[in-house]
Amino acid sequence: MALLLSLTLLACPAPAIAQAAGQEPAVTAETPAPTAQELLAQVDMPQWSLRELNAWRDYLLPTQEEAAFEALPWRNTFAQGLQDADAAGRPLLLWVMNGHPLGCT
Amino acid sequence: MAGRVSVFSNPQVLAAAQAFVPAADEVWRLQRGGDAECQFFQRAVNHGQLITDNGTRQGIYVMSPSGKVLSRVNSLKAERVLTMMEEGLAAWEALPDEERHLPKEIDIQGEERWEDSRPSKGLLLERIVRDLPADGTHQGERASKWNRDTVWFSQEEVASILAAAKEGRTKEGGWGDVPEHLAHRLASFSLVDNVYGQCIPFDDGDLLRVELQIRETIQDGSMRGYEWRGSTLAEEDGHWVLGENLWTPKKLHPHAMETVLRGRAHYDTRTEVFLGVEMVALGRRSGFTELNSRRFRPEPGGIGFLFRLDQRQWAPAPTFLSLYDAPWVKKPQSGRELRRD
Repeated sequence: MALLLSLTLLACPAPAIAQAAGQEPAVTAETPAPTAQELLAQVDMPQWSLRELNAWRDYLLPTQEEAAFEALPWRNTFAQGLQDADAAGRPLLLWVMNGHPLGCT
Repeated sequence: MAGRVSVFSNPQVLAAAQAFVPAADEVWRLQRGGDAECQFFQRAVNHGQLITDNGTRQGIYVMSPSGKVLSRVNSLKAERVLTMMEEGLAAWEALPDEERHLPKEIDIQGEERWEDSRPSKGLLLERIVRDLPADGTHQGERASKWNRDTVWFSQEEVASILAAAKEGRTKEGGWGDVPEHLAHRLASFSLVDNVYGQCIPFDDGDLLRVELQIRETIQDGSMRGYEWRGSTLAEEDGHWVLGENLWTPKKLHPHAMETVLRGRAHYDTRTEVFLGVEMVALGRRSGFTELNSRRFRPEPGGIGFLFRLDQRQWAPAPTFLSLYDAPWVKKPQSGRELRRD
């Protein structure tokens, strides 16, 4: 029986195999890929009102742990860090990324 | 971005950092720029030579003010960074005093930066972005990745927004339309998926719907209260029209963003200062761009944005400030900052 099913599946084109397995049809050259907007439609838009503004704000804000890095007195530029390190007689701890680490990186 | 939590929120790293002067900066300008600050960085991290290759110098360094790299690592593991800091501190303690100091003959000041365009009396917003929980509610499990950016409006632009609210008084519901180019600024440059790191903006041709309105809800002496509402829909249209810059993609991948915005603001007409702004945009996103790791998790999902007053004394310039259609944005004189070789 298993062999028969395997042979049957081998004889089927890919979308039919997917349907036989209870899945969405596979994308083929004849089936254009969904557009970005069509993919959007797979997700429900959040339903919310202005009354929930504070709750959503609190969800989106960094937690205390996520914002702990802000406890350090970061100098915002390399030059300022060098000057302050020199004045303080301490080494510089420099964190550099593509995009400023204190902004979008 | 992940290092904010995995490294610099670690209590041991925070404690060890007390022995240093911490500084953060954007590496692309430092490793490609031509001013004194950039050249000092390049010689420090590149064995005394200016950098001519495209290899990234991202990372965490311990450096003497004289420009000697004492240790370095590019890691998201706190333990590795801690070890690097300990090694750097030991090297610093072994460094003779004459090799520690910033050379007096070098003027380390950089040239103009994009941050110099920061409006003095405008509206400066911090923007936080995070994926939404699978159940679509704010009680759901908080997604661990988040990112930050800034949005800037000049005093004149603020005036035009408030004028829209005033004009809205005569309309049904009291809603006035925020000037289109300012609403587009949000939709193109801020309502973008950089949860997993830097991304590319939407251009005007990608914007399929941008509605942003404001209405006045409170008048109390010089205090004014406002509400925001709006919606956006943007989809990459396959054409890159934003010129050659840092983010010019090698390939445009299909991606889209749809949001609904709501918020409040309070403004003092006497001091002409916003006392509070909170605006949330919730929606859905699909696809990815090439500059971050969303490509490994491209399935569509919910996304949320928070805009609030940026109270920081100094904040990095908005990522896409150079693309703002605004006369108050001053391009740094060197002109090298945002140009590929």
